[in-house]
Amino acid sequence: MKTKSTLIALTVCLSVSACGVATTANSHLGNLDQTSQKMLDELKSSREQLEVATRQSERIADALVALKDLGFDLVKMLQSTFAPKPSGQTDNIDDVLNQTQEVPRE
Amino acid sequence: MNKTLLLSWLLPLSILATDARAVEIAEHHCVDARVNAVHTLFTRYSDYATMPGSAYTVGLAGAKIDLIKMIKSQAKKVSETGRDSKNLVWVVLQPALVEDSKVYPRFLLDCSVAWSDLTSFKQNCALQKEKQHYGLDDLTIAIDVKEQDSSCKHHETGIRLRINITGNNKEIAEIKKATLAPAGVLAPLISALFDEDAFFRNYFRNIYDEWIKTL
Repeated sequence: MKTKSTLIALTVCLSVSACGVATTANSHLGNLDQTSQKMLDELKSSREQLEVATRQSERIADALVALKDLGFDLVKMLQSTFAPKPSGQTDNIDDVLNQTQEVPRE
Repeated sequence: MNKTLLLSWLLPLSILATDARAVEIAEHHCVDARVNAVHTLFTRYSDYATMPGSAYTVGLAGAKIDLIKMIKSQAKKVSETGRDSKNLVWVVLQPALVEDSKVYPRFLLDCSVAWSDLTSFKQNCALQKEKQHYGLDDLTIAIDVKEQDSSCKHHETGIRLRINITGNNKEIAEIKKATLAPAGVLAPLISALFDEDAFFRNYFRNIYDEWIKTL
């Protein structure tokens, strides 16, 4: 009986230890999984940005070629067109906070 | 093909609205700065409009042009408990060439900072949908800053940045139309620069990159 109860006690003890190890291992795996997911998210975001930038660059290049073929002095034209413009009047934060409801949008 | 014809059919196509889908920016930076310096930088709400990066500038054919710039950033403190804080921040952007403020992107952000311990904090900002906004339907900014970031070198502070932007299709088309109106023969070029998906993504990515460079 003593041997049997000792064996039972040992088995329980080992099971608990094993559970403890398993729980720790699971926790580490969970952390690794979270880290991997974060890395995947960042990679996906970078890839999307690259796709948008590539598409945009191609369109800009096409437009620049068309303008150059027409003989425009692009630098002068860009500098003149994009000279700073005065800004129109906009609400201040107090105006926005005091608005009881959002200004209706179409 | 006749080049005048080429430009003339490009122009109307360029102002058709496309679906502005939600975009996400996810970045991780390691900086040689203490966590308090990062906190000071990201919470200088009233200075946002005057800090580097407030204008999104591109170099094109030898000219530097501001495509869009922040012209207003006003803050009101809501609460402060120890080092934690909550502020409302009103932001107004002016697109290039546009003087009519009706089409200026603008939004009110609710920004909260919560410190986990002395060396790490989180900043979360969210667009207040019940208040005036234009150009965006939603915007969330989540920043996680840790002085002992295991992904960085020992002396560096880690900054994890996640920005989610949902543009408003109709309003972005109106902004683009207002920008193209005075552009003349440059309209196709400006149309190419104003990619709807990239419009806000480029702006927010650039501003945070420029801010982080100052650390």
